Amino acid sequence: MHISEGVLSAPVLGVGAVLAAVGTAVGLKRLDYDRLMTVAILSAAFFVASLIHVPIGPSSAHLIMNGLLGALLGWAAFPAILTGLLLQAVLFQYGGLAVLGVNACDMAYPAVACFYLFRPLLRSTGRRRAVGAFCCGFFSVLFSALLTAVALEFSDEGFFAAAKILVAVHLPIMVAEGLITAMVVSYLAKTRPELLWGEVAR
Amino acid sequence: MNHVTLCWLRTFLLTLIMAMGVVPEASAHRVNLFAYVDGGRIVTESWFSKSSRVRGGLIEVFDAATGEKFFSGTTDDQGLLSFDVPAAARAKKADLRITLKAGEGHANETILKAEEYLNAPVTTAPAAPEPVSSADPAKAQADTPVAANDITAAAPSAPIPSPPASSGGATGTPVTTATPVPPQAATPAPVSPDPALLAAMDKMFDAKLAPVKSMLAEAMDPAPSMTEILGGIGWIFGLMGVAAYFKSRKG
Repeated sequence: MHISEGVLSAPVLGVGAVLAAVGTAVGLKRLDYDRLMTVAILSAAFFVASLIHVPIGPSSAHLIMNGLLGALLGWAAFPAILTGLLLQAVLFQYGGLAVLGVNACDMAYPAVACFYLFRPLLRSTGRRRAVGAFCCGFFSVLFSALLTAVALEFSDEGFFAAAKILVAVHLPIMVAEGLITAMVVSYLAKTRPELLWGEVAR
Repeated sequence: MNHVTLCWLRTFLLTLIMAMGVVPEASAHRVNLFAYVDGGRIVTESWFSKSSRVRGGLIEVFDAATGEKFFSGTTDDQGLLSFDVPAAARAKKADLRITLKAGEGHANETILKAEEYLNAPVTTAPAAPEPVSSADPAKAQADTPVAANDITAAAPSAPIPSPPASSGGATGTPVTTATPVPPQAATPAPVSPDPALLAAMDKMFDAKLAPVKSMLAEAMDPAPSMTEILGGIGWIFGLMGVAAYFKSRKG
């Protein structure tokens, strides 16, 4: 899902950078001192998750984990994802520095959106909470695919062509991330509930 | 906090260990492009990972200086596309900027220096496949002529050592033997090589260099190494430390 350098036009890159800066500012403002360690660990998990490649379908697809970050961190997922993406760009040459803003928006805004969309479910207990977490993981990836397609709409590729392929390729990823998010959230709810409600309680 | 942190660390390390297991398979977010000159043709290889080639990717060739477009085409099922060096590029001795668009935001590009295709003999001698990334075009430039010289000189130069020895013995003056040798050696050199021999050598070189070519292509696709993975994680925790420091001073 990382868009490479040299694909997007300057206005798209500019808009992406501005939106990413706004999201990061909000995320940092909402970031609580006590949750700094959680944010760092999840950022590291996001950074590493891109190395886990799911070998299904013709194109390249790897875990993203933005849904998990959204479900656990809310707005604080934004700086966590930006940091992860920055290091992926510098160390792995995934994406690039110029497209960092666009890539961060593509992956972080869906995470934040899912957090708010499924918050009622996440706040409840048992099966409902697991369903909420699954939806967080599933729809974050889906929305990310659609947002990436929107960004590509302004290059010579076109929205529908890109969206069709991106969504098809990421279907297995959506299911996998839904399951992972549901498992992690259920586990934490049982063992470390304070981690889950840190953001929600505010 | 400490206990929570420990619990998290454990989960995280487990994920990390799982990730390590799959690292070799996982380098497909980036698309790779490798271009070299083979005979009079430019060959491009495009791939996401070892097992996943770019099918139907758009390859375009531009003048690196002016941006003028020379050629465009799509890759086959093996991610390969080869084409004759564009005549316009040859005329202008232009460096070529070769771009690949593989869809869904995947793109890459590479520069092919003019010397690489200008020096490659068009039909006869085997062109050494020169990696585009080679930081030393001068060396690549030198390689091709040397290879060509070897072919023409190899057969005639073999008998040279014996005639000077016998002629030196006949005249009986060891000092002068040195002078007759160069003309003797030079005379057989211009004999034009047998085209069939060249073709055979061309084939042999192709066969011998094929593994080298694929090794080079693979070397250009470095999967993230352990150093980079751990380094990145270190950065994240370092940044967290900085953030914690400033937050604690404010609070």
